[in-house]
Amino acid sequence: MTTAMLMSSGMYLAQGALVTIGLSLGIIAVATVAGMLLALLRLYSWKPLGLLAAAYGLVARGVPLLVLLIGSYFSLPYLGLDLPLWLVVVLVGGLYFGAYVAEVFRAALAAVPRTQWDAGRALGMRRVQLFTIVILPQARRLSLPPYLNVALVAVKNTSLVSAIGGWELVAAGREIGERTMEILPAYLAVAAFYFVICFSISQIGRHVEKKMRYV
Amino acid sequence: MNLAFILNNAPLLMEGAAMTVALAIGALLGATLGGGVVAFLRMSRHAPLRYVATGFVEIMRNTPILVQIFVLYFGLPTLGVHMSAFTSAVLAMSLQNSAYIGEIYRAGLVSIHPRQREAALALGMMPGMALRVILLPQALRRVLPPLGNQLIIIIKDTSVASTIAVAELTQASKLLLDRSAAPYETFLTVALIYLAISAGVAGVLKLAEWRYPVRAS
Amino acid sequence: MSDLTSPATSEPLVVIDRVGKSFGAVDVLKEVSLTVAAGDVLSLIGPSGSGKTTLLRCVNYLETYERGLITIAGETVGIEPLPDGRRRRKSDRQIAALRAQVGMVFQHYNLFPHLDVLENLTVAPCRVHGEAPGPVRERALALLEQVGLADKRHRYPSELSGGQQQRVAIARALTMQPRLLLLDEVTSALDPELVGEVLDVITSLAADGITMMIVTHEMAFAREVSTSVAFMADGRLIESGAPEAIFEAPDHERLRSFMQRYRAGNQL
Repeated sequence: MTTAMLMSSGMYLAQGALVTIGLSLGIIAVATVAGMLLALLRLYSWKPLGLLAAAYGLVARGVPLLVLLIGSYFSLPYLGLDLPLWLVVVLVGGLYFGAYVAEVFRAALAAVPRTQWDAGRALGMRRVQLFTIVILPQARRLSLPPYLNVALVAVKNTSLVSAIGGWELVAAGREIGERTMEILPAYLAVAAFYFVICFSISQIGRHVEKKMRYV
Repeated sequence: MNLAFILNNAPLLMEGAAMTVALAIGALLGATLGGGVVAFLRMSRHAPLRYVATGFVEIMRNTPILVQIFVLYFGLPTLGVHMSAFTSAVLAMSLQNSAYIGEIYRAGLVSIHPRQREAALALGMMPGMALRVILLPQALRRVLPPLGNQLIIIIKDTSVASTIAVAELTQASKLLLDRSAAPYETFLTVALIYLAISAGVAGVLKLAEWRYPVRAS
Repeated sequence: MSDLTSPATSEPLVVIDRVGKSFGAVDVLKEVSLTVAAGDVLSLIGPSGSGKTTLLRCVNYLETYERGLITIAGETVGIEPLPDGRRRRKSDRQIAALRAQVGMVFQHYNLFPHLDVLENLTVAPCRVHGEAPGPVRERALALLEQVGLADKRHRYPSELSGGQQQRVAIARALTMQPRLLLLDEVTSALDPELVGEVLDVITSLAADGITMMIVTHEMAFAREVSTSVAFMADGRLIESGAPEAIFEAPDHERLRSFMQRYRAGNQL
């Protein structure tokens, strides 16, 4: 392999990595909103709605993301919805990981001691005030490390997009492998790109966790 | 609803489900053993062994299972190492989950208070016996719930084997989707089968947790 | 319990000879020397941080020590002094064999939570000594009877009160038929109303002639149960002797002020 080929292959993979990062950010954004909603429904809403949210969580966490992706990709056109692939991925991935984010938020909210609610009420705060001023900031700190862990899994799972014909890092790696006949190095390079992205996220998580311990 | 289509193809789906279970069991066995090795090395007295194990865990945790499967199945043959798709998938999942399960074991052992080991030593047990008779039985009970969660993740990850055409459940569903105009039915049925497998595992785990409860010290 | 009481001999059972230990730059034990004869009950008293618990833990080598030597029935504890003056750590097997002869009861009971009460007692004799389960079981039941907990034999530790757990822990140590029993602040973690039941058990053991070394903050108990008392402060043995002498006529200023503070605290 010439240096020029190596350079262009690297650039190509970097483009794939950018698509992977973009998809991941989209998925995580949707998952965060969905997760917060689901957690609030489960903890503070009308009971039947809470049960519905719980059931949604069980289903989403019991079925592989790949099945959900393939299923929606094939089914949506039948519903007359002709969405671009990236949007399907962001929505389906977001809703799927929303179930995991909901568990993270729920655990964090539940971990704030009941006495904090009592203390807020004793100060005359209203429910919403109390939640946003007292409970949420404490829960946010608790939830950050497991939240980042869900984000890491989400990044890794964007690789499934290549299995439904999307173009991202793995697909870029496959093309390079086929073009250069250097299949093993191509996939190892793909793995290296993922490692850099994911390891950064885990390091941030670790850093946050360490800082939390001193608070 | 086109139920007839699903019923006609039930054998294909059942074979797929059986392959999914086979993949999961293979990966679980591999990872249960591999996890032991990882935990042992991570807690080794010798720093180089610890570094090797830590590096392994980090690489496995921070790269997708799909890429790991591709490296084994498409990459290794260029070095003259050929494995069947099934073997590649089971091996890749065993390796990745060895990292996760190794950490679960380690956390389980670390969570046993040092006083337990001390009490065992004070009774004249050798360190190995203290580990076997006092520490491991307690750690195993604590490890059961996270191990169960990991097994459910493994079951879901077996779907990735469809990308190298292992004839498991997801692959079966892809065949049906290609073959028919009944996407919802296929999709729903496959999702339900996955749910049933996960629910079965969760049920067995609840039973095991009830039979072997974690007792406070 | 006759096998636990040895005939009076001139040779002490435990000899602690100028033992020293450091944590980094801090000397936690400084030249401590003590002897315990078979059948003796020695209480170690002193302010917290005085090194009494560390010393006790050195006796069954749960703590290492760097200077001096401890011997039990003529056998050195944990360390083999070499002819050239160096010290070698004994093998795990040798250390375990010694610990099997020395019972220990801990402040936090340290019962095995996954085993029931009877199993807690029988696990070590069966596994360590390879004794047959039948006789061990009988011995264990007799000991549970003695500490008043025979009816709890199939309960798990988490189902017992602290005082009951500690009595089980004492029975567990005795099931190994040790030559020496070490008790490390065994009532410190207990609610006040549960202290008495544990002290009563220890008093009855003393009456049976079981050799004990006791680290305690219960002065009245120490005075009543001990054949000798040793007062430690700052890692040093300050004074030791018969309980009457230590409690009524202390020589050293440190001991006198310790006793005054103790009495003042007790009157509150």
